[in-house]
Amino acid sequence: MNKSVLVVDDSIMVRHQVRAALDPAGFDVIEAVDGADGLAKLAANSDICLILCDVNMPVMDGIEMITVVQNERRSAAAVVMLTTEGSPELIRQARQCGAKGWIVKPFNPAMLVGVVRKLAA
Amino acid sequence: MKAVLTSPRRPSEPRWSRLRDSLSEVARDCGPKLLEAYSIRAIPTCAPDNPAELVAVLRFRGPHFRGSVGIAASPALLRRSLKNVGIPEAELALVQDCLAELSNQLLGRMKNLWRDLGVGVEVQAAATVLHRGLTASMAGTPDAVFAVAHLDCSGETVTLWVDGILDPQFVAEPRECVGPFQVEGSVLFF
Repeated sequence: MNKSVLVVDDSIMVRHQVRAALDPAGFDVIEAVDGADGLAKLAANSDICLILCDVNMPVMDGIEMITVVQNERRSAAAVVMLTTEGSPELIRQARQCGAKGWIVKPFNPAMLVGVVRKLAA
Repeated sequence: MKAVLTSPRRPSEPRWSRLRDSLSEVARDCGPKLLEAYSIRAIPTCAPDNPAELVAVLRFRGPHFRGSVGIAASPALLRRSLKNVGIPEAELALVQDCLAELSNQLLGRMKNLWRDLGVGVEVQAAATVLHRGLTASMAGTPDAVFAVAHLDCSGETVTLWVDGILDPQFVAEPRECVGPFQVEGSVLFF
């Protein structure tokens, strides 16, 4: 059975890019358009083993989302932030919320597959 | 980023419909009326018959520096680039999203450069429009900066520009580079 990866990003292009990279590598990709949608998809798919999460999104941003995930113990999935941000303060916040990695866009598809394979337990 | 306008969110709601209508009214009627007040007669017309370009503009704002970054490219060029990243068929909405994301990533690079100068900015949502006949230039003020670049991409032009207004009291203080993880495309494991 394929492992499921949740990608949370308000950009359709980025979600497509992640799917195009992970599909051929044998991962099922579930898409969410913002943090609130991400929490809903997480609740509906208990088998998600990794979350790729943008930071700047409408409705609920990525840091808010992973804070909820951690505080309310909604998932044991590993979290990797996938963003244009590189601010040490945001990186510190994500780390405190249990994120396991930080990727700065644009990403290399092979690198993304490597990261997902490493962290998707 | 936080949504400023959280309600109404569903396009089917009557208030949303009225808001959408008001935007059309602003675009169609308010422009000519405004220009009339300045003795300029303006008649709504068709867009010039130039090749269509998509334009994405992203505003940024910080305590010392505010402005916008823009990027313009043809839908055909953007569709080619989407094809290169594994998306063979792209509707206009996806092409627009592609350009908005490119402007977001462009500003991301700028933010990383500016952070080392002690300049922090917040980003707002990108606005994307289909445009014909674009010339980017700016009549600046003494505190405004403007840069534009026209890039030849296999016969098609991509135009990038950035404008900003800097607080004249602000003194830039270079900071030490905090690590290689700021480089685009890199990964940092915790």
